Amino acid sequence: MPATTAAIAATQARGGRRFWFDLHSWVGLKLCLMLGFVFLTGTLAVLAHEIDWLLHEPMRVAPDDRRASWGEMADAVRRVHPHWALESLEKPEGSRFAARATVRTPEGRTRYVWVDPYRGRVTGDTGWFNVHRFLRNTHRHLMMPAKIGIPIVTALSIPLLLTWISSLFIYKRWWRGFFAWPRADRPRRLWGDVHRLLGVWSLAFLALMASTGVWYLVESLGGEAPVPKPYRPDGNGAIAVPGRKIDVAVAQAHRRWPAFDVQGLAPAREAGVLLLFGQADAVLVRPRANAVAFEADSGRWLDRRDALDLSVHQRISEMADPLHFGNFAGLAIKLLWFAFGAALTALSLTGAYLYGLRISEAWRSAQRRGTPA
Amino acid sequence: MNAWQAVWRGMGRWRWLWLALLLVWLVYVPLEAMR
Repeated sequence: MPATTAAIAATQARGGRRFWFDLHSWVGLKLCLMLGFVFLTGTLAVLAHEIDWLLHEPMRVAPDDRRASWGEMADAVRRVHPHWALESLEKPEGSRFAARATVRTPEGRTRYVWVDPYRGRVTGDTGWFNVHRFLRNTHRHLMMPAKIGIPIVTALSIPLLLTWISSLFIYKRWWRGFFAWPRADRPRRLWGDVHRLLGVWSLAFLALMASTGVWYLVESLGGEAPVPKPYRPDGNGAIAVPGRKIDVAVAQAHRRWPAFDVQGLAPAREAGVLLLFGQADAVLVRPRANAVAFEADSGRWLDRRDALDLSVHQRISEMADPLHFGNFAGLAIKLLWFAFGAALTALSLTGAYLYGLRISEAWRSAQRRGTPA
Repeated sequence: MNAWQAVWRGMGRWRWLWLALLLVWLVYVPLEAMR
């Protein structure tokens, strides 16, 4: 290629990279506070149940060989708190966690009653506003009314995607950067190397968070999937069915649908219907996607909902939470999500710091020369 | 001017938006806690 053409091509390439750098820098600087806050609260939210476990003794149990049945656990809650309405019962988060019963007091307050899943005994009760609720509501909608807060937070996914795309243009041969250890000779070089190293390792995770964030934005603007039918849980109902009838329903569910693993129970909106929800053959769905409905008094099987029968729109909707939260495969994946979340938080801070270092160095140079910066 | 001062100045008018959101969050935290 003639020298002039090569020079023009090089200038254009630099111009192109300059655009992407300016875009990345502008978005990162203006949004670093907000993004860093959302990243930090999301990172902590991954392990919010575990944090609550550390803080609240009633959540902690010692494992045992025996397991109490769902009916025994429901009866235990109603025996200890006969005037509190049992709204739902959910399986433990882990082997050393108690099962969680959501109840409503006569004053209308929501509380959690914790039940030892091995011994079928109530271990205590805690308030509704715990660390998990605090982090979830902060991260999801900044504690504001959800209709206002969710679009604000989820709209950040757009600039997040822009920083992701622009980073691929700025960092030449980024695929060689996975093992580029930071150089500690100067602060700008050190933090630049740290930012790039965290960036390449976070590329896939960042794309995942941005994509699920875009999905949540679409949902908040009216694009949510229709709720799977039949039978929806009733948020204000109570489970009044005796424990032995619950156990009969669970046994029938296991017999007729061996793949179905019950993860919770709740009353349906339809009067006299009990819902069991859980996991079955479909991957990456929330427990509510699979459900079996029983007539509460007679124990008659009414219907079942298999997540495999959901539409594509509904499956995408179901997939978003497990992928965003990292709660689809136990503590190991949660810890991985926590590590990546910490990396994203560090990215927003180191990126802003790099800008600050560049500007403050230029300012100090100008001061030394006696010229305006 | 240190690096973080430069960041604060560089954020321009956007910093007031984030501060406003932070204030709203601080107001709503006790409201949610008492629900």
